[in-house]
Amino acid sequence: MELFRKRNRSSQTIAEEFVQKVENEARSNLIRVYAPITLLVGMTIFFSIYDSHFFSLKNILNILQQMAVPLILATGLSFVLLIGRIDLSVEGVMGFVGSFMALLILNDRNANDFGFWGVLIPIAIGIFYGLITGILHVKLRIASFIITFATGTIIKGIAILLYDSRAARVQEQWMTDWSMMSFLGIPLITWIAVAFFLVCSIILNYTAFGRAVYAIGDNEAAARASGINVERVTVKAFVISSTAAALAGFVALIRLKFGQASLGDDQMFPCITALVIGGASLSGGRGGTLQTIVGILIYMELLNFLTIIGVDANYKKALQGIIIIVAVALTLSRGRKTIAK
Amino acid sequence: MKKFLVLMLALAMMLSLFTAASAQDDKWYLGIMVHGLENEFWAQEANGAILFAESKENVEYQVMVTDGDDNKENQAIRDFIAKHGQRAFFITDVASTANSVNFAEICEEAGVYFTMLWQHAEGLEPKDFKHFVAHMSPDDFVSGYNTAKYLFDLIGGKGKVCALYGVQGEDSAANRYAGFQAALKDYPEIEMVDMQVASWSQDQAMNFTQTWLAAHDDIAAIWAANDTMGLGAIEALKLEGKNGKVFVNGVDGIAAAFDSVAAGDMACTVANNGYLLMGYGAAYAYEAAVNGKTFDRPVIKTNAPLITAENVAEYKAMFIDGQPEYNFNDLAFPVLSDYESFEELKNK
Repeated sequence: MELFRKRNRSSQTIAEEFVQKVENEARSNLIRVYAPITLLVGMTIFFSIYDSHFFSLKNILNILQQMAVPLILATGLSFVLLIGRIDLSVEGVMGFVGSFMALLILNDRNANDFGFWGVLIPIAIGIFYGLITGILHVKLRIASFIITFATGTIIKGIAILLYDSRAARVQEQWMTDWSMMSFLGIPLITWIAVAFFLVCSIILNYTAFGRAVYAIGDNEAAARASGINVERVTVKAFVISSTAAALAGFVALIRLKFGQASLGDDQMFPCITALVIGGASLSGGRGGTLQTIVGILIYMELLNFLTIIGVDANYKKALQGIIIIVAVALTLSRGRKTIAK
Repeated sequence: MKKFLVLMLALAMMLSLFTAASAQDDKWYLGIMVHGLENEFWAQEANGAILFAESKENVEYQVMVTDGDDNKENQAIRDFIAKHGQRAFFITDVASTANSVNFAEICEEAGVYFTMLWQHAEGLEPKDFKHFVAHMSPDDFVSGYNTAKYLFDLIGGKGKVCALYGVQGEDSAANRYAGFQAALKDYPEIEMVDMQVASWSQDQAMNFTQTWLAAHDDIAAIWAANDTMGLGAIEALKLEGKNGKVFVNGVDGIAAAFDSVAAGDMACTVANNGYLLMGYGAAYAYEAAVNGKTFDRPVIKTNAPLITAENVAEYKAMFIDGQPEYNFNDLAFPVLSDYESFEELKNK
């Protein structure tokens, strides 16, 4: 009797433990999804109270305009991150597309005036370059951060050689107009970014490809066993990422009108930081469209706010780093998958 | 383009081997060391040295690209010295600060004269080497000071200004900003609103400027530590139709900045003038090697003209669309004349 009761009690404990574990996991999952949003809302309210310039219409429009390029890049990168890879070539592709485009449309360096084709051709090359990168990655089985670093360096080098020491300034009138244009008060380039973001959201959330992306990120072996063509999905993810980079190059050129290959420099890490702040995992499987946009907004607002209140530039970088660590620590659940590979 | 150049250089080297064998040596051989040719300024430097070489009948030259790689540079100068012996002399935009020491030691050992531009290691001075003819560069402090002063005069000596800093930890960024701050002291009615580190980036400079414009209504001028950042600030101003009304400067004198000054968007920039640096640098090394000339003040701060709306057309024709014509016998020409006054300012 004594023995039986003991065994009974212990089995009860195991069952309870299991239930407890499931509940905990569900709770941490909830935290993971809602913590970034809560942080964003809290930040926005705090910043607005702290300095009235922050929530002024002009400043909001600034943030919207400034987030166009990061939003496009982060949307593309999120696919690659979801399958547990990384794409370091986006900066190179972006620089190439922007600087090559500046050489093909009306500019101060040569007599070219390809108009529409001048925009389309560089973007097409950029997208195709993602296909090559993806294929090299899956066929040669080289780790993504090595192969994409290499391909990114190559395409940036090509860009520099193409403009031969003097970058082109855009003289195309419509491009100047586009940089000023807005619809419903919101800058045109932000609409371009939002449109790309929405299309990618649909792809990620409502297609078989999107489900395959999550499946691979969660467990690549299991995904393969269940009949998913992992190679194909991986290549497609890289194509989406390079499409984003190419589009970002176009948008950056609209913004800056100066086709330097350095157009893409220092663009990627802020985006990856933003994605991680938003709740994406560097080892794949976690993240999504909501996390992407929330992460980007948190990051952009933070940068903007630090400038508005005039934080000393010498402390700013350090402060930025600390805030990022705190934000990531707050928003990440410390599950098995969140320890970066 | 680069490949083509390398090929041409290889050809030129082979040809020079033949000629060297036939004609007994009355020639001098100028080694032109540059980081690369993809950057407008580096191309200007190389062309300046070529201008000098072509002005002398007894000089042959070879352009060598280092890609900022120390080993590549050292290998290249060793090969060049091996081939031409003490008939070689160098003008270099040295691959890195650290390598300036190796460069000086290799040349000193071989008895080959050289002039160095821009960076050089702390304590590495021409006076300590027999063959280190001169060190030349425009003065970043002076560039920062002159551009800032020009902006402050434009806004009538009062109003709000912001500043865009280069990369933290770089000498040129720090010195240009020090020049800006020195000018600020001369204008007590100018209010310094904010300084941000935009890391030489057009994109970041544009973002900061947008934010400044949202936070302050009445910014009168934005000082930028280089042209690219100045152009970024101007793009932000254009969105609000304030280009040409809020004054912005640049430093370096890239082609896009010349155009921007001509269009009235940029108030001024400084032309670092690679032609002058390498052209006269080569001339100094030549004078030392061939005529045994020595220089009393071998650390030379060069004249870097302030480009404004008044003189932009003239300088653009000279630096961008064409090439300047220099009399390389007039060795005092590149020296910044009123340098002493700036030395005093720096120490203040």
